[in-house]
Amino acid sequence: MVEAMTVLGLPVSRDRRAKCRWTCAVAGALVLAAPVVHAETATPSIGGPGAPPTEVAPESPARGVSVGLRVGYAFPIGSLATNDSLGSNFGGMLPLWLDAGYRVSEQVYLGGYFQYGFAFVSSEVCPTPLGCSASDLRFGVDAHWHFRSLVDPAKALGAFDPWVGLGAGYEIATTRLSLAGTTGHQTNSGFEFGNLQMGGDYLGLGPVRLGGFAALTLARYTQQSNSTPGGSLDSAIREPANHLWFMLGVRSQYDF
Amino acid sequence: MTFESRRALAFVVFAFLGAACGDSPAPANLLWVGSVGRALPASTEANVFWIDVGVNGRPGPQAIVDTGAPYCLFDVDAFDGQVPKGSGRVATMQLGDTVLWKVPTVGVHGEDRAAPNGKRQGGILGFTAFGQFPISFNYRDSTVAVGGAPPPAGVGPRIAIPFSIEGGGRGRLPDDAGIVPLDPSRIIVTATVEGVPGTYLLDTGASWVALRTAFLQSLAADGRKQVADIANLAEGETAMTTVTRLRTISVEGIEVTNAIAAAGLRVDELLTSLAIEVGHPIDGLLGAPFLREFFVTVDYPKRALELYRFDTQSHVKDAYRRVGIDLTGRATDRGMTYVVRSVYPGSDAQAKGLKSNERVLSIDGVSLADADALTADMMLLGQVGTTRALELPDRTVDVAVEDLLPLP
Repeated sequence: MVEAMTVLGLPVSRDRRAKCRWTCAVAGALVLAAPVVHAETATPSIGGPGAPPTEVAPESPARGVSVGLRVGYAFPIGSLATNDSLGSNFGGMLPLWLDAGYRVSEQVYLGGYFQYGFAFVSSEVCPTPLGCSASDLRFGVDAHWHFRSLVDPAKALGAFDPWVGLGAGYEIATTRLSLAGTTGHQTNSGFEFGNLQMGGDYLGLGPVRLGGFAALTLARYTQQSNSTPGGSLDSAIREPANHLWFMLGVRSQYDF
Repeated sequence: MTFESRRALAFVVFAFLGAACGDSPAPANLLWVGSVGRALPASTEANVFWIDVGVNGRPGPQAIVDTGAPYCLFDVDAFDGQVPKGSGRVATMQLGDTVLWKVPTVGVHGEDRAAPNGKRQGGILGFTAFGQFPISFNYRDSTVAVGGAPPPAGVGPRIAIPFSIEGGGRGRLPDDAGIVPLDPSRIIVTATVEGVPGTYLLDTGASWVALRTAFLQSLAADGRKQVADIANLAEGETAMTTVTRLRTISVEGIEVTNAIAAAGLRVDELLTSLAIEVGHPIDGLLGAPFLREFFVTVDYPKRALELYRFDTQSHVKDAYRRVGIDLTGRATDRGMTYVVRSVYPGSDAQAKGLKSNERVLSIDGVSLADADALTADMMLLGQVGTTRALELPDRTVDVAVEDLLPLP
């Protein structure tokens, strides 16, 4: 077997492999055209009984810590507050989503998530001469259920591991305004009642999973804070309303 | 578009429909950038403040700064479509150097009436725009400062009067535009009119002190002069009122004399509606005839009314010490054309034979062709006993300036 792997086209020796696990994971997430990885040992598990042996990376242990990174695009749905649609505030969002958790079994993952989203302020609420920017923080806990083991390997799912997930947490959206050297920002926050996730991972990269995901979050901003040049004032949103983010993107996960 | 001198505005928006259902509405809390506290030039026609209101980054028309209005009521046509009809919001509202973000508005199709700057009037700027700030009104220098301003030179010591902010609930919008929740916004103070204490709404949108008809008539039992006059109310309404002069009105012992007061059926209805909203009787509106002798700061966050009396009152023009006519103007290719709208019965103007629809070319030799409505009206005011030379197409008449509302 070949005792080396490549990262971004460069050979990496075995003793450096352990040191570069994080680098590899991140690189794998950001560079979808991942390099070919040669397996140390052939494993029949993917091909299943009777299938010809396939050279693939060794699978990660069923239990262990996982960290992951997702990127994508999020579409706003619903309302920031009554009579104030989310779409009239944000045209969309580029989320950077970090996952960290523990694989309880081959099927079950429990963890937490943290998202920083670069939100695009709609021109509807940002006429000239205002300068506007926005961000959206989400954090919480989630659980994934991987059901590759339930799929008949003979039906050619191969190294594909489908999963679904559920989560809940808190969301904080901040819009920043600037004008003539002065700034102000408004923060809307509230509970994310739930998020539904689904996706599929490619397992052929050893400890690195690569795949796509979709997510739908359901949340409600209930608190508002306005920070102005004259001070800050917090208040409850008088007529809160539900909103959703629909996200599509790619994700990478490193299994320790 | 017609241009009329207005003495009587009472822009108290009273859309009250029902009390808040047990909740405690959030205080006015808008995000804003820029700076506050700069004195904005204002027009003070009819003793109310008109300032420029920019919307969504565009310059806009003049609107009245009205502490009696719980929300911003704008004429959608005056804002070139930047203000949505009905209950909505504008992305930004610019008041001088202050830019407010996502300001709730109510848009209606208003009457095509001119603001003091000659352009279509924009409507009313209410509590939802400025209710989180102190706001200062300088009646002498005709300025408004969103965010409050220090007192100018030439004023007396500070007099602080605490007030309560009351009311709120649900309000029905004009033009059947729906029902909206209203913040408590009514500034309630205790005032004493000729020795009779009462509960009054502080209203910078009122050109006069408004009283209930029964009370005004009881005051007029001493034989004081009364005249009928038309008041412009909010939402395009007009109302016939009876106007008279008060001997005294005071707040916390601070007294003003010779204030103009008005009453009428519509005013009674307005006061009754306000009383239902705040949950106790309201005896009147404390408007410009009291306030204009002071530099006034309405400090909403501190719930305090600050008054600094001007050392001199030369800026106070008594709208009923005048030549006994009203004018109405029309813009033509050759400038403004003014005609007599009405003649006060028993006045010297009537005795000199002035009649409605007679054209007035000049006053004291000053052509009215370039005069806006406010300027033209001010030319008719003056010291009692002096005269004004009115040039008509066929003659020039010297007409006395009179006190149309003399006290016995």
